Amino acid sequence: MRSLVAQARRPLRRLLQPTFGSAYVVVVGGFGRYSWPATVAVLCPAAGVLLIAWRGDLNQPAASRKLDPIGAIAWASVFVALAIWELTELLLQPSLRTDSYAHPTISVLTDPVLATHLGRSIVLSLWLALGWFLVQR
Amino acid sequence: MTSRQVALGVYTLIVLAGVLLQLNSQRSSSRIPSLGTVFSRVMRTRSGRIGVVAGWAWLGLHFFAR
Repeated sequence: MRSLVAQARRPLRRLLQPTFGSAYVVVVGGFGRYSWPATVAVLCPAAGVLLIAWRGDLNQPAASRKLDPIGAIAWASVFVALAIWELTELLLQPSLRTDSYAHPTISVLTDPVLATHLGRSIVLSLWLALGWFLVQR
Repeated sequence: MTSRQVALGVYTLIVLAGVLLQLNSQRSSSRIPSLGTVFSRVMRTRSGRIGVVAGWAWLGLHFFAR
């Protein structure tokens, strides 16, 4: 009986998750950027995923081998390079709080996209998808 | 070449490097792990999980929240 219920839950979960997710990004994408509703709406899933990360992974991971040092260094280099370049552009701005056309940070580059409801909804869905990807690790 | 073009060029090169690494990781004899494998390895410990998820949460807060 329990296995039947569990089996019935899976397609329902598969239907509800994208439906809820779509509704979430459409509604929250309509909130003004840097507004309190947007802040709360982002804090809630962030706090939930942090709690899941604290308690442990949802899925038992397969025993993972050690990473090849070459591969680890390669990926680390990409992330470090991105961080250093972003910091460089930030410091080349007139001030930390003044955007610069000549030295754009990632935030400045995404401003035109995030200025619209559709843009915010798309970026929110990507952010949620990334969070879901991380939770599955 | 303007400063903006240089900046955009560097961002593009970094993203391309990541894409190339990911494509390379798909080869059977590759020593480069996929990005998913890297995250799985990092997130095996609690501190790794919290660090990565905190970075993800910060991204959302940085772009949308106060």
